[in-house]
Amino acid sequence: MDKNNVVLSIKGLNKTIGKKQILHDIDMECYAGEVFGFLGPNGAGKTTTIKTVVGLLLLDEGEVKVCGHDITKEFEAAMENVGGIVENPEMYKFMTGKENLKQYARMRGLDFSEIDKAVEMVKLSNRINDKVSKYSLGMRQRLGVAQALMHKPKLLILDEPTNGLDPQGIKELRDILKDLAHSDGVCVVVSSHLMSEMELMCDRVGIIANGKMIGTYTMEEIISQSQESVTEYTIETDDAEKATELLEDGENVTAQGNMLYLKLDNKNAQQEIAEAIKLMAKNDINIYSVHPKESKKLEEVFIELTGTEGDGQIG
Amino acid sequence: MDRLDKFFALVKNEYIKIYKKTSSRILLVIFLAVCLCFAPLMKLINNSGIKDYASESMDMSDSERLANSLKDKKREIENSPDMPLREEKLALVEAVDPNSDWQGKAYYQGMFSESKRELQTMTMLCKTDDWRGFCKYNMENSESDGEKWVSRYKLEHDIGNGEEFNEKNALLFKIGSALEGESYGSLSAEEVVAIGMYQLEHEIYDNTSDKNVPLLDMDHYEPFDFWDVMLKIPYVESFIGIIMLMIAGGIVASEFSQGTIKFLLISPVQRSKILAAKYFTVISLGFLMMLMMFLINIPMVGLLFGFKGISLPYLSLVDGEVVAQSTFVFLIKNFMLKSVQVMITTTLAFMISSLMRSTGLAIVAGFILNSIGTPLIAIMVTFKMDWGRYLIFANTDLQTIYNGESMFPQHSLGFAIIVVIAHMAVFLLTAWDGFTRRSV
Repeated sequence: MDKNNVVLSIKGLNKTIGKKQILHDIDMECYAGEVFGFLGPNGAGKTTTIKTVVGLLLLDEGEVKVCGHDITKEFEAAMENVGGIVENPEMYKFMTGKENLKQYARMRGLDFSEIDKAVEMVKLSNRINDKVSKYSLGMRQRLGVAQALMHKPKLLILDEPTNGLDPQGIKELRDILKDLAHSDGVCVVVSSHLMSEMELMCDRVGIIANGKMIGTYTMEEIISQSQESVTEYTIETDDAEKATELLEDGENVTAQGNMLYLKLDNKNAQQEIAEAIKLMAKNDINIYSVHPKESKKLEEVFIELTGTEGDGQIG
Repeated sequence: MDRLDKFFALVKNEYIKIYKKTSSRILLVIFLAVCLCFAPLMKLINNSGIKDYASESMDMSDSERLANSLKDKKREIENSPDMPLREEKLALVEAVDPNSDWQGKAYYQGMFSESKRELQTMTMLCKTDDWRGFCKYNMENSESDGEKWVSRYKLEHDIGNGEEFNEKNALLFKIGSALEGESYGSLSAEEVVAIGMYQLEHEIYDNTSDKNVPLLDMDHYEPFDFWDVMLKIPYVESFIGIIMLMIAGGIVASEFSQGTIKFLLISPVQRSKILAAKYFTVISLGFLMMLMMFLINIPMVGLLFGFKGISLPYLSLVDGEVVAQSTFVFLIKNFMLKSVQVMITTTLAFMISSLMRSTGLAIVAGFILNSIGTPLIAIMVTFKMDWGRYLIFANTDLQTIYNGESMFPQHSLGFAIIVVIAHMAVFLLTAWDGFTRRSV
């Protein structure tokens, strides 16, 4: 990731459709060489934002720049650098995959040799001469990706790209995108409503809810947010009361039936739990199992983040 | 140059898309079928017409028919003793030589006149075989200005009735009936007279101006020649309009209904250029079809009807003067005038297409708008709503307006062209505005 090389910059973006304001002052920056996850529940404004960036929607207010070119003032220069799929990858069904890509190549003034390279990359070579009407959703998705990256864009925007892909396909796509970002320095923006998917793919995520930007975080920040300063252990034993007395020295201990709950500071939790177990063993208390409470899942963080900010529905 | 290349790349894309679609392939096949079947169909109509006529006349020559008619008349007179002027009529019947090339006319004229003097004159003229006397008599006595004029002309120029004068006599007859106020095909009486005089003066006894009649007004009992058929092609052009309506109706709307509009718009090409390429595609396709129709039919018509008379001129009356032009040039002009109609239809459908998301709806809307035009104008004319002339529908048929046959009085070609251009500009601006600002 190269923070000095801003590929996509959105400032104060507002968009109203009908009477409803869909986007409120969206600010966001994406850099060359990163996979940026654009995350939000359904209806949060992800697709609207993406459509504005690729020129499908006109913006009401604000500024969108791609590689320094304002999309309203220098549309052609800005769009030269953009490749993307929005919503479903719709292609001309009455043509073959290759013919579809040729249409695209002609439009962009590309050499037809680029087609084969892109097709090779998404592993569609064996079916490229079939009519698109015979493609599965996954194959259409791959064709869409091939189309989007054929002209080697600096900004690659994919709206829900894993829709309809099988696990193998998702993994392959993930590898392609990571490779494009980390080796070729492309800025890849991927939208999704699945945090778990983002976790595996993205370097940074921007979270949007109810048309407002909640913030952008690096993946590490998100992970650390999911962890608390205290870890709770659950110990199953035959004499919880005796154990409570034994361990009653400053630690937060509670007993309930055969269960013993221990809250330990994260800093030396491992050392302390080991000592507690030794102490109990020395005093002839049988220990059947010890479980640390699992850290909060990323999904929970996501729901927390998007849920607290406003009253929107959560997908 | 680079910009032009890019534009034509877009146009090429559009052509490929049209060609690859099954629906437009079907349209193309229908179009080719119509192109190829036009000449054979005309031949078929013509053949059956000739056959009907032949069975009616039972393969008799003029003199045989006259002889039969004389025999019938004679019997009729003999059987009716109370007939007025019985003797005179009988004398005329006997005086007529059925093999003469003019006496038949004298016979009918005398027989129908019911005047003793005329019957006796005709009898005398037939006996002496004096066609000049016949002309002279008609010049002085005929009630018809046309007949008088024809008779004088024949006398003055010594035009008899033999085979060698057939062309001249046919022309004189035509002028004569026009002088009586009879129009001829799509030509008015004045036009026929002016053109006929010009023909006499320049000794052109045949021209193609009277062959230019609508398809259904054709006299299909006579064998058609090359121009008889070729001049009908502009009337088939409106069929191309229907095909173009379907293609233009789908060209923008289908991108929306297929969802491929996103594929098309996520690109560095501005929307207005994409729209311009699509418009150029439909208009050029329309012209291409018209050209094809023309080119396919020249050999087809020639093959079935022969190339006889291909060099005949087309005579027309322009501002009181007769102008001779090559019939080819005339046909091309006519084609161009008619193509405006195709262009308007296409543009209208294109506008609707770029405002709608559904292909079917766009085509249907185009059809409805196109078909209400003519009745609407007819209604407006009936109710004397003169502002109807400012509507596009009153101005689509430039050919008719050019011929001065518009339903509105003083409707000039210049006026029509201005109305057409204004409407086209509005259509295209609406399409452009709708397409470029549309949310996808």
